[in-house]
Amino acid sequence: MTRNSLTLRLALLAAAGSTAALLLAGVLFTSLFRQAVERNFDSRLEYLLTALIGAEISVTGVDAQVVESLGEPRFEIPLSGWYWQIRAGETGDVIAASQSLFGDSLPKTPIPPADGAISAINLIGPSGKHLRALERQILSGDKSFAVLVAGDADDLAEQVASFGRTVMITLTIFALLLALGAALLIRFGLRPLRDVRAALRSVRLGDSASLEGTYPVEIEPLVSDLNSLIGSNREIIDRARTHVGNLAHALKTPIAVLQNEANGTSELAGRVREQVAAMQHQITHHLDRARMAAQSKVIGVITPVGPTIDGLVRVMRKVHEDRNLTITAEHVGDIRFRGEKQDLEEMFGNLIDNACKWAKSRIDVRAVARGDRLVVTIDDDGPGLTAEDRKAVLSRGKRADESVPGSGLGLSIVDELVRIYGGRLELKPAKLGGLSVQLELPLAFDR
Amino acid sequence: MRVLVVEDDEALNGQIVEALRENGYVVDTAFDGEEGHFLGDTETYDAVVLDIGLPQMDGISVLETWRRDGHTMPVLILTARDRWSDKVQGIDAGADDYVAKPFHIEEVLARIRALVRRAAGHASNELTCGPVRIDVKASRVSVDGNPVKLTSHEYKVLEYLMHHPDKVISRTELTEHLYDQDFDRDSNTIEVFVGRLRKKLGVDVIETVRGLGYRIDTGADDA
Repeated sequence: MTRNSLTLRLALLAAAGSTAALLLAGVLFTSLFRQAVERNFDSRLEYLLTALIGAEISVTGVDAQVVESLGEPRFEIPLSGWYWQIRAGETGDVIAASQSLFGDSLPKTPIPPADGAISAINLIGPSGKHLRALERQILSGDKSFAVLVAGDADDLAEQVASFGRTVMITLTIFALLLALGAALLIRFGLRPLRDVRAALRSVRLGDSASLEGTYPVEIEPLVSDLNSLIGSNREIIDRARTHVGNLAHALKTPIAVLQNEANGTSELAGRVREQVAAMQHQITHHLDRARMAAQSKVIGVITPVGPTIDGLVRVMRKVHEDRNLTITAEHVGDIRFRGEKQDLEEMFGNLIDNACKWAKSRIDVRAVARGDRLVVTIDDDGPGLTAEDRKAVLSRGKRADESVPGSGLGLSIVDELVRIYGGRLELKPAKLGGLSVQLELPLAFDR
Repeated sequence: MRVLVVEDDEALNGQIVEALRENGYVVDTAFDGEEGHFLGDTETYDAVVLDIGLPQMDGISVLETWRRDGHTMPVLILTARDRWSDKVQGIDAGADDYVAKPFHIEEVLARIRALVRRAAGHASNELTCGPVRIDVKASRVSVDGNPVKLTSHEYKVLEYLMHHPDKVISRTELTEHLYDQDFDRDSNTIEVFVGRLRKKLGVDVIETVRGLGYRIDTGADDA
């Protein structure tokens, strides 16, 4: 998944959103629980305080019966964390205390105000326990007393912590479920985009002419725009090609007429022949260029290599029937060229035609897929070319030998087409004895 | 030799026809696909020059229809140089060769000669029968190495017969191949030409097969 991915973006957003929501929920639940538990604890302490205050208190002690009826056995258990204590209002001396204090005393705190308001205090108890206490001043006769009830706050904290753990586990499970849901959502939600991608690929491979299928309203405009773009691209190219073809045809016939008309020996005839040849050269060159430039970057144009080679070989076999040439064509499997049929035919046609013109008896054409390249070799058993001629022959219009008919443009056009397609053209001595031409072109394959 | 030229451009058509006539061919001409198809379907030709881009019926369809109907005469198609698919289509439709436009007339002549020769099963421009030798490229005839002067009609009769050695050629067939469609076919000029030919050649290579026609006897299948 790359950085600029819609899936990654959605996944991160979903993860961040749900993590924040779940954390907030966790904190909120825990704090609400803490409040509830504390309220509960405080009301228990308040009840105990009220019950204790109901007892008859004197400077000598407290009514033992009332203490027993408090119904809190933890007051009897030593250092249980649950204590009560009564102090004299004036001196602050402890008059009576629960058995659980075991003769010990709680840290001294200021006597609460005389208006009877309850003050809440946090204390550290005898065994180091955190205590939460309520204390209130009461008047009994002319004496004032401070009555205190304390409970184990660690207990409270433990309850809250245990609740917190439960909440965390629950929320984690919840988060996992949410992540699964988000993944499904992304998968399902982004499916139309993947469909568009697959459809585009099939257009690029030449399997279909436009993006097919129905898409959600959100991306339907994009798809129809893409389709009209592909369509207009194709149309423009077709139109350009038709114009170029028409122009070529329209000019070629008059040129042929002029050329044949001017076959006398006069100076005029010679001049006309010379100029007609120049015109022909220029027209061929520029029309080829225009056509090639229009076609080199078309999307979705794929040409099967095998049938193209077979067709050209059929032409050559027929045309050179009486020369007893053996022309072999070898291509394995479904090799496809990423480009125009006309261009492929132009390249192969010129090369195979050349090979046939020069060959003594044999021409071998071979096409293979090598990595992402289409490699085509055309060997003949003709006289071949010297290293110097091999270099020179690729320059425009140059021909190694003028005795075999042809415009001389063949190889340079092939070279130019090969370069436009980002390929490579190489001339070597062939094993058969003549020239070996090797062409490397882009192969069409699934990406 | 009788050739049909189907080309819609009048100037080019005229040039091809003129060049062919100058080289001793009998030429019929058509300017659109339908007319061309009709002529090829009803007349007998030794070769056809056929343009691919024709009005009314394109060259490929004309050719396909001919081949489907069993016409086997050699056909030379005219295509644009950069249109390999036209060439492939043409050959697949039954053409025997192509010439790319623009072309030199000599190239068309050379291809027609080669096609006629190939159709007759000869490998070179020279046909021989005993002491008689003709060079179809230069339209020259010699007997035992000595040149013989023939009129164009006499030459055409001899060339046609020598292209089909050991085969009985009827007078009608000769007429069909040596004259264009307007020729009066009831005339017995063929007999006159054959008589003159025998006299000029001085050797007896043309045999009369009674009631059937003429035959050039190479002695190949006498054994």
